[in-house]
Amino acid sequence: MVLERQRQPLRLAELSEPTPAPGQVQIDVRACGVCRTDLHILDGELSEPKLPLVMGHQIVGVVREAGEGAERFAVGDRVGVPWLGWTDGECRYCRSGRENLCDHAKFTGYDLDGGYAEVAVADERFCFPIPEGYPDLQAAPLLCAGLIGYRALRLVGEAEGSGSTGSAPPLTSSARSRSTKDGGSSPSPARATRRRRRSLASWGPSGPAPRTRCRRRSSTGRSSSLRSGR
Amino acid sequence: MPPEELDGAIVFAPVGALMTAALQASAKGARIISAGIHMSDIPSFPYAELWGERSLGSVANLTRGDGEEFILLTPQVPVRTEVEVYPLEEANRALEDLRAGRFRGAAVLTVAGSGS
Repeated sequence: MVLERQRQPLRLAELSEPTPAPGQVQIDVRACGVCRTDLHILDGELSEPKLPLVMGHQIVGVVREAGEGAERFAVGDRVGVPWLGWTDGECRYCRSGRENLCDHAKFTGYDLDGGYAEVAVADERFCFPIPEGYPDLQAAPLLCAGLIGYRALRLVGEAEGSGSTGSAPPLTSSARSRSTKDGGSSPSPARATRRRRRSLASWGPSGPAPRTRCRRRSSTGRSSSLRSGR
Repeated sequence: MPPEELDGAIVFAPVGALMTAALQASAKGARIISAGIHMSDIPSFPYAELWGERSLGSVANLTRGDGEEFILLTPQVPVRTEVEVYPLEEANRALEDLRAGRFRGAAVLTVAGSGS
């Protein structure tokens, strides 16, 4: 699906198959999340996309071929491709461990073609292995909605009574911890980690394994629920 | 307003007025973080609402370290995702349903024959 001009619908198109450059992997796309950022691109609120563009930056797929020098993943490995697609590694931000702020970063589905397609290519250094147990469809939203939520939660810090508002992705948070308010001392790093995990835990169900839920939308707009216990 | 003052808040919606709303609901020392890549203008507000070492901030993108840490953490939590599935060729409908808020959770495109 191709974005040829902003503020116009995507167009179904047959494109030549992208081949992996050195350091890249070619991926058979299995699922790709749809993000509000994609709407900002479509609507022109993010104004400088590559055009024409294949959007999509929450890609789950299987490595089909590795480009020259790409050795991190084997053919058949399941990988995720997120928004951050390339950084220069040289600017002051990259050199200080803040590659998310890189002056010359390239973003998947914005500067680089993304996953609204059957096949994609990506720099293997910016791909993640997908944990076993997460079906493709349920893993896709982790790659932006989940990740950005996680980074935001870390920036908020060890809040005692945080809340979230808005169309938060598939994760909604009511992160709460009252231990210090109830008279405890400041947390040690280890306690802080446990508290963070408790806060994150409130985003999902209790139990030993992730439960997942998905609804399939038919072209009539009707949906049916599918549940899997992993 | 929430039942108690917030020590932190994450604003996902691209609506600047929610930043000041969250600030008004916050305790001293609170951090209010916008998680979006685009947001409408944030209205002006009295300095007294920021005073007390409250801060407003934003998240930009991710680092590979964030990704690797989060991906390892997700099955341990476990994080649950709720998705609405569309065929790849119906990406436009998925985008419009997202815009209109017609589903809960996240839209995901699936490629025919992927077996996912």
